[in-house]
Amino acid sequence: MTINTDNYEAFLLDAIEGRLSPEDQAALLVFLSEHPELEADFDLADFELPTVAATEKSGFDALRMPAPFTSKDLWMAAVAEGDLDDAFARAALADADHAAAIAGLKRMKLAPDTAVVYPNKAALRRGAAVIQLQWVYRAAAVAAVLFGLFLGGWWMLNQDAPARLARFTPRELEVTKNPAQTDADSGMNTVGTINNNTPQVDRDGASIQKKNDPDAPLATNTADVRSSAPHRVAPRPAINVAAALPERSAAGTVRPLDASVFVNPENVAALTVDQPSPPAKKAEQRPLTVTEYLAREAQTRIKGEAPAADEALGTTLATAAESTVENISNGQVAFRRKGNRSFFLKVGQLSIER
Amino acid sequence: MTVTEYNTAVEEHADALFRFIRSHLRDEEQARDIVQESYTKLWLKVDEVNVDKARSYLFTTGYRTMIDWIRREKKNADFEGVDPSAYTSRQAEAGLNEVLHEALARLPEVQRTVVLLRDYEGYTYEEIAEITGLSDAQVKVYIYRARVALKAYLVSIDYVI
Repeated sequence: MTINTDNYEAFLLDAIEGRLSPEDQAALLVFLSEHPELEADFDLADFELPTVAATEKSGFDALRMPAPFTSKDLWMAAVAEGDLDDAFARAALADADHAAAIAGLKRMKLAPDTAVVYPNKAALRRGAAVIQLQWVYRAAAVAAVLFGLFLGGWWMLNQDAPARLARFTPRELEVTKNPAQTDADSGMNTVGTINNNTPQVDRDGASIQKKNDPDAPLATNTADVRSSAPHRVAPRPAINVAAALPERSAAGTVRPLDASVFVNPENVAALTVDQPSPPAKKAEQRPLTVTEYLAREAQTRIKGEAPAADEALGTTLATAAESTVENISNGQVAFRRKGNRSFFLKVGQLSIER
Repeated sequence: MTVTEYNTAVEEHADALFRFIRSHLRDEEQARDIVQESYTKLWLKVDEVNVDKARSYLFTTGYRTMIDWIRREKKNADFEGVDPSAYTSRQAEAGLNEVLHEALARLPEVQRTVVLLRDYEGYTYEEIAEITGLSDAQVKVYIYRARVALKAYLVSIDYVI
């Protein structure tokens, strides 16, 4: 049977299983040598073809082709690589055609282009300095994380305080007059005043003064502080803040603060008294300053007469009462504590949960 | 392996590894990345790798990284679509080595690898087998096939050898 492209696989299978006759083995090897493209279909390294015994042919073609070579070209390539012993080389080179083919195969060697080099070897190098630098990086990373945690904690603490304080809303706050309490507390705290050195207050005060309506319902008294403190805001009718003190309607409830006192710059400016009241004035029924009002309210809450929820607010109000009112803008009162530390109280957002 | 030995490995093998990857991929930027990654892996195991095995480790890692990249990118190394006649105009001025490198690109991936390792680095069959994970016999056969294919390519473009 003649081996061709339609039946050679059967011959290969028989060859693998050792069932091929020597003649068919020779025919198969000749066929494969004539069709090298078929080698790609088989992984020849997985098996060894039976070798062909020396036949009547002489020279290279007569040599037993060692496994796993199935074609003369591969065999010659092995000779060119120097992988076969001298007997094969001599036999192959004895034939002029084979010798030329082997010589050509020997030239199929690639030479590296030594001009091509890795462009940045310095980036690959390592060293003690690099290792030490890694520790510096790690320390810097740890420091950055700690700093971030510190900032986060600071931010949370400062976010938490206004949240506790933000209890008052103008809607809940109402003005009520309580002259009796005004008498009792008129000299309580006169430390906290609007800082008239603040330009905005000055500007606001000046402009407000021009527009100030003497018939305004809250303008019940006048505190002329210009004579005693010329650098302060010009005196204007003050609001009787004491009248705005909350009344306890029942145990456990507190009336809200008068937000209008804080949210209205004109009113606050009118409240300003930056010097302790003289004895003569103390005898009179003088209106409370903002800080006096806050202190009073704070004292009431801290005494425990108010619900527990208000105690924290009372503490804060006490702090505010001990501070200087620095600025009032858009319903936000800026206080400056001792040591020039400022904090803010957004009166417009405050409310008391009953 | 000490830090000094590692740096020596950089000096001695970085260029060769770069040439091997670059010739295989024909992509200089990717070859740089693979070389860098190979050395990074060596550095991570600097305490485990013996200095005598550094070169083999680098080429093994580089080869596997390259294969992973080829598979990931599905970059087919088959250049059969290239018309061999396109090279005939260049053959006059191109040297045999350049033409061989053109032909190299047309070889199957595994043949290209073993030939490059054999010719560029002079690796033995056993070393190539270790790097590529092939058997010694497979390495031989692939090299022989590659030689025959290279020669056939040059004949196909009428390159005089």
